[in-house]
Amino acid sequence: MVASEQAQTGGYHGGVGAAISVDEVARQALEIVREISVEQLDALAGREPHLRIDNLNAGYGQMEILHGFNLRVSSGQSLCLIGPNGAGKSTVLHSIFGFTNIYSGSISTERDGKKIEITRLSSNEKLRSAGIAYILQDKSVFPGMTVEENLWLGAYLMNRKSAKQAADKIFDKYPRLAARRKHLARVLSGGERRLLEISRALVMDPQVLLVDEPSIGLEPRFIDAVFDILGELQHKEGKTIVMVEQNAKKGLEYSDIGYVLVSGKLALAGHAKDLLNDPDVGRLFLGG
Amino acid sequence: MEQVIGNISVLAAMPIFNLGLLIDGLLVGSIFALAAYGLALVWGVMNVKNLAQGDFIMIGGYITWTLGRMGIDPLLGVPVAMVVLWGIGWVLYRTVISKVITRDLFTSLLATFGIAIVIQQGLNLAFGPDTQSAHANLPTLSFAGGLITIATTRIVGFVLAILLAIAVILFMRKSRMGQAIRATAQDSRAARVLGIDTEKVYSFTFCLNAAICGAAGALVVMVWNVQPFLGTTYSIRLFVIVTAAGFGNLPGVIAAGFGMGVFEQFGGFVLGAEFQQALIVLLLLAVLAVRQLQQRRVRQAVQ
Repeated sequence: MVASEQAQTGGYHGGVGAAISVDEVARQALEIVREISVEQLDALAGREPHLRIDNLNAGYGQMEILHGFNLRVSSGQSLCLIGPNGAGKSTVLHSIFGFTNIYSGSISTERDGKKIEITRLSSNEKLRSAGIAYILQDKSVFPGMTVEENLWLGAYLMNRKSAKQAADKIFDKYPRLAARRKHLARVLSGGERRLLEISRALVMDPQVLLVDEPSIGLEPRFIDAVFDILGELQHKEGKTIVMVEQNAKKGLEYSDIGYVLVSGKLALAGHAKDLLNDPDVGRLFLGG
Repeated sequence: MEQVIGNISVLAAMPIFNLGLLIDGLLVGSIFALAAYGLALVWGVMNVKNLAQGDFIMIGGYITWTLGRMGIDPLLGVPVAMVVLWGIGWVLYRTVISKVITRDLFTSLLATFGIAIVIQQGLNLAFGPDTQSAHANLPTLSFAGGLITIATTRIVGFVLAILLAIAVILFMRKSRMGQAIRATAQDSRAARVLGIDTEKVYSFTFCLNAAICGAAGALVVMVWNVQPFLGTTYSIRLFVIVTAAGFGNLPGVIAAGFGMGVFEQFGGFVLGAEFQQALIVLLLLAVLAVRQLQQRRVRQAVQ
């Protein structure tokens, strides 16, 4: 336990000797950009992808952040996006969920074996009919509401009865939350709060989970617990996971595929364990 | 000054008067509590401080007064004023509030201040500057050999205000929309991620508050009176109440509403009715000064 904690703290701060400035990371990151073909991405996904992004140009307002971005991830697979600050990692999640302006390109997923185009769907429709849910960063529970009410709100798009049933299913799955059912979310521990945030997104029974910084704001001992929950969802229930993780080492250790984003473009893509051993990735994002 | 001392000695000599003032204070305080809850709702959910709150109340009062002139019982004015104010709230939200909600504090303050002025002048044009009141045909009760008199209207107003407050609180706790409103107030980003249409929540909240003001206005015109420019005094009262209690503190807002009612009754009795308005403004200053001191203490603690 002690050893793993040390490893995590190492991942957080980068080795002291190898520390380079944020700007320097961004500059050097530009040099490692390699041309990546869609065929390579298809090969990484392994089989027919469940979620695909083609040639996406997207951003906020008039500001384009993603330029010609492609993504492939098959069901039951996990993909971790890493890269310097401002590279557009969160913008990828926002675009999939419908929170950005999409200028061109397409996003599609599949439902019942059929490909469906979701580029221009509103986030409500994504949640309701495309089976995509978004898990926000830490501190997004409703603190003044009970655990139960938080889950009911996760099923806001369902009618009251189905919402309660869906919440009960979650309580069956996570007895830890069931024990806290009537407690206000603000009194939960950091780990319980994260569990509530994740399970609140599960109420709608999504196939794709977009996970924004799962480890942020958590004490090291809770980080593994959070990745265990995500791992279980992926491997036991076949959920497709796309995550952004500041703690690149942790994120890649957990994921199947890793994408490195630099300046709104895909710079590197590979099996996560290969990226962990890639000297450039190691130097720039894993702290040497 | 002699007058004031004389009034205080009356209270000291005849404790039963205190009881009368206290009861009256609680009765009118219930109306303050209701309208203050609406103000706190909009403040907490949308971060808009509605300076036109008192003027919404005046509109509700004039609607009820107009119905009274047409021979309709003022008590029926309560639901009518609520419906009409809901509509006015919706129009104002569409045309003004939705445009300023994402802007900074001063923009929304100025916008609602502008709405207040337009309402005041509009009421003045429509109804003239005279004070008006509507009388429900209800008797005045007297107790303790006539030393305490309570107008039945005030009791009715009290009961209605309490019932409405309970209805709103239950709505906020139990209904899906109420839950969505609370969720949006606590974390609007998380609410959007879960599929809550926050734009709809804002619009609904603003309309709900306007309707609450309509009901409060209907009660005000029965218990006291309305006048085109009296709205500002109500707005100040309500800001005192909400600032003193903190807008997230519902029981506090209700308690402070009652407190305001009692304070005004005693203040008005001791200092004379002509000082009643000055007293409210003084109280606002006092509350703001105390809040400022509290915050300074917090700032020091942070350093």
